[in-house]
Amino acid sequence: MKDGRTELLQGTLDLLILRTLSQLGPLHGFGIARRLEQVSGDTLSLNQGTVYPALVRLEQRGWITSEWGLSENNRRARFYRISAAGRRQLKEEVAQWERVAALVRNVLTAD
Amino acid sequence: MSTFLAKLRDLLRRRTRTAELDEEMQTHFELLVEQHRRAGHSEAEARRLARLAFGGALSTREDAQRALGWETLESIFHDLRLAARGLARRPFFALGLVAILALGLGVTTAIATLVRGVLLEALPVPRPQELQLVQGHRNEPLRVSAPTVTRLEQHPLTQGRVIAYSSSPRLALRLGDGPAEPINVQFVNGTYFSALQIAPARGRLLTPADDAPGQVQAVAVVSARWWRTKLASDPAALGRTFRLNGETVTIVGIAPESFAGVALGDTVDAWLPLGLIAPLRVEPSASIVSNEDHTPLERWRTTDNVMWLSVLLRQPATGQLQGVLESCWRPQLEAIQAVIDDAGERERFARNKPRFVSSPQGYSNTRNDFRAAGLTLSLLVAAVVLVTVANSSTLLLLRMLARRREMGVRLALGAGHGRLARWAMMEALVLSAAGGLAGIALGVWLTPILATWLVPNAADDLPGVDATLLAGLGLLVVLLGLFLGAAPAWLMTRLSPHAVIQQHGMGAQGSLRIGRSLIVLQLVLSVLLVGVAGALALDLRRVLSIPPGFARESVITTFFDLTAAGIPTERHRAVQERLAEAARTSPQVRAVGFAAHGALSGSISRSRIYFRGEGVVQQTEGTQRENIDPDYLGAMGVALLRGRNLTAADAAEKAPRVALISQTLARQAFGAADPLGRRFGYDANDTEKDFEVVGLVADSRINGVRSDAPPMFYLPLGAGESPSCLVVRVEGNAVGAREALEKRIGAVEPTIMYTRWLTLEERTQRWIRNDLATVRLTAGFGALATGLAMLGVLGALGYLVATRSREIAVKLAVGAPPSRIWRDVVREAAGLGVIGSTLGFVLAALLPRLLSSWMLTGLRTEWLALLAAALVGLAAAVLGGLLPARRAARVNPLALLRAE
Repeated sequence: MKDGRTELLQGTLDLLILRTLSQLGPLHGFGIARRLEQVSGDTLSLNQGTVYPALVRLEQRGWITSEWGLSENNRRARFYRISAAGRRQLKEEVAQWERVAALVRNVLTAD
Repeated sequence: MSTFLAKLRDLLRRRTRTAELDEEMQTHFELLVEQHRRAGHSEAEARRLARLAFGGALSTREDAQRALGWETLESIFHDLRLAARGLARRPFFALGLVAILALGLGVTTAIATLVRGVLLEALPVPRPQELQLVQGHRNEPLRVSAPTVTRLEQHPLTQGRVIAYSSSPRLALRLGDGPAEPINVQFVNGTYFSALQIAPARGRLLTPADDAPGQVQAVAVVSARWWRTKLASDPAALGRTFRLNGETVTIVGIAPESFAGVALGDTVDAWLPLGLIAPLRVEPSASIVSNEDHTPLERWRTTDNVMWLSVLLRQPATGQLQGVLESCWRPQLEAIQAVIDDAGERERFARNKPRFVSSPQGYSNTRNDFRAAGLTLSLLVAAVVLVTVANSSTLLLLRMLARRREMGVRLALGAGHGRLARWAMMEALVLSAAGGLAGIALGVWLTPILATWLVPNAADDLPGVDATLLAGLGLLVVLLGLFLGAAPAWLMTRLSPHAVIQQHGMGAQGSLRIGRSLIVLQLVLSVLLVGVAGALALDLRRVLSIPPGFARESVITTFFDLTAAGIPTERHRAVQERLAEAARTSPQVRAVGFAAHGALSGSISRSRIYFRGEGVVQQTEGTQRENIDPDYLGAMGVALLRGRNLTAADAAEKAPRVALISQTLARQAFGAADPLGRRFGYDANDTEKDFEVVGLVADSRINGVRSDAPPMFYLPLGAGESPSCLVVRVEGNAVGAREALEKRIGAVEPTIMYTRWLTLEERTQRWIRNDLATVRLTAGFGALATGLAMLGVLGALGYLVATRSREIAVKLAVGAPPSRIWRDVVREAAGLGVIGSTLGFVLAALLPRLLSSWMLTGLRTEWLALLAAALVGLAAAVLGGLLPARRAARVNPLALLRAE
């Protein structure tokens, strides 16, 4: 994108959602999307709708669970919560991410 | 796995889940709008910004749905619905195809079940692969003596591993005071059950202690089926006693349900210790090589000269089994050789060394007899399945061709090639699944019927269709569906909307697709089977039409064994009198006779006799002897041609020795000369005990339906021979007379066990049971093959017509009458029919010669049957061609040409 915003790396959206849920507790889709934008300081280019396919996928894998609740504007909204399996997965993915990031950093900073 | 389940759950609730997702996204969107509105944007602007932030609404929604995993599955469901609907639109086509597949798969299921049950199933014992059968040089059990078994039992290497068993004779059983009824028993050694490693269903099994020499226990283990049918699964059966051949025996245990003995087809109702043969007076099948006239049963346990036990051995982990076997067998060989004078004969016995042969199935005559039939049937089934597949594939393709315009339109409307192909495949799978289900049901129904035809002895012991077989059949059905769908699916991928709508080519132009040779082959198979069935049926009718020499309808016979019933020999005469009296006073009875063997009994005595002449001794081999009372011939309806009948006086001890002879014997011995007054005897030189021929008796075919009348001589019943056959001539309805007879005779001596009371007509029918089964089976396959061949012609010509419809339209347009088009197609069909029928005719004519060395030995070339079969083949071809011919004649040239 022209204004220097970053496209999300393939596969990292899941990681970000899991991390968000583990930090903030139960959130609905809108809350997750807003949080991601806030944390990235608006440097993330995200079609907010794309969190939904990711949420379906994560739930089918058993990493998050969901239940219906009321949103700020008093509408029915689905609140997602990270599960125990999700926390384990998050830990693994974070470790994996750090390994990859370290590797990339090493390669880029090597003289 | 759990992910899959989650997906499945979402799929099943997909309407709710979609709605929920929509709602979630809607909420999200509203919240976005609100956020922007609060930031001071106008309503319209807020909405625009929200849309921008949320992303393309439609594509997002689809992404989310795809994440739910529905797309593929849902479209498969869609295809399934479409396929089912497409098939339902032409129900006759669909039902017809399902019926063909069901027939093919039904026959497959039934034959597979039978072949597996009879030929492949191992004994229901732990680790059956350890079982070794003692065989001689022939491929059957080598019977050994009881001492040989004892030596094996005592050898350290084979101790506790010996499974020895006798033949399974039928004894007279009495439960309480009821009438005697038959029971099949087997005498087994003490370690029989423990070496087989069978656990009892109830009570205990036999042990070596039951069979200890000098202390044999009168105990029995009964089969679970016998316990169920005869004792109504009475839990109090253990410890109960019954009488076998008059002796009291206690039931100590019940064998497990799955176990019916080690020989499929030889049903065993009760197992008894070996030592009980003497107290029960039972002589199991044995070969006796001895210089004694008679070896008493008491000595069968201890003499090496009577070989009556078959042996299975559970193989130990290590050791030289062959050496052990030979060392245990050698004393038996020596004992036998000691009583044989002839050196060559001695050598023959020594050469027939026992050896162990792995026999996880045990040994069964039934199985051996079935092997050729099973193989033939398997081949036939394979042929039927191949033909079924080829024909249904053609028909399915034909169906697709007929709908190519519809497909073209779908294609033009944007359905992908892949989608069309998948849909064609789905149709084939739906058809094969329906055919498969119906076929398996048909097979399950058919199996017991085929079993009673093919392996009547073992029909009750065969396992039915089980999970393994079902899995195999299921796989077959899926493969079948994939195969059936392959050609139509492939066709779909090559379809171009333009070409289709323009009626341009599909597949190879104008070919028969499955090929002339395959159609001809089907017709040949059909003619062959129908021809053979016809030939067998004609042969059977011819055999049955030969006068047997006795009355069939009005003669009822039964067989019995006075000795087994515990009646001493000196009382036999008196019992016979009382039986005769009881029978004579029964309603409808005209005559009552007794014989030692009887007609169609399977029991035969043969002797070598010497006729005396002036200085000439005429020897006849294999002459059949029968002992009869004076009323026997009259009761049987066997004619006395010349001389006099035997009288009661002839049976007296001191009476002159007289005999009757049959026509065939008279002809063999004297040609046309008068046999009356001639003398014969058993000894070549000693004439003291000679018989005088006092009567000439008409021939009768008493040895079986297919056996010629044997040369026979008749002696009075009494001197040394006991009656075992009761013959009653009745008038009127034989069935009514039989009931009264059974009751009356049964009351005379309740210890006597009678075989079923059957008219000689019924015995004749039973005699030809196997032949009848063969005729029916061949006829069934013949009908199936004919039907399939008809469909083959229909499919092939239908394909031809469909691919040539343009050509036909042109012909019609330039003035050819529809009748000529019609005739062309029928001629094509008839051409195929002529080739197939001719080849089938020739092959069927040669078949008896080809097969004579193998199995259907009774088969002759019956020209009439062959001609009929050839006509059937021709008719099938022409009939198969009629429908395509009609379709061709109805081609509308205008419609077709306009589409160009």
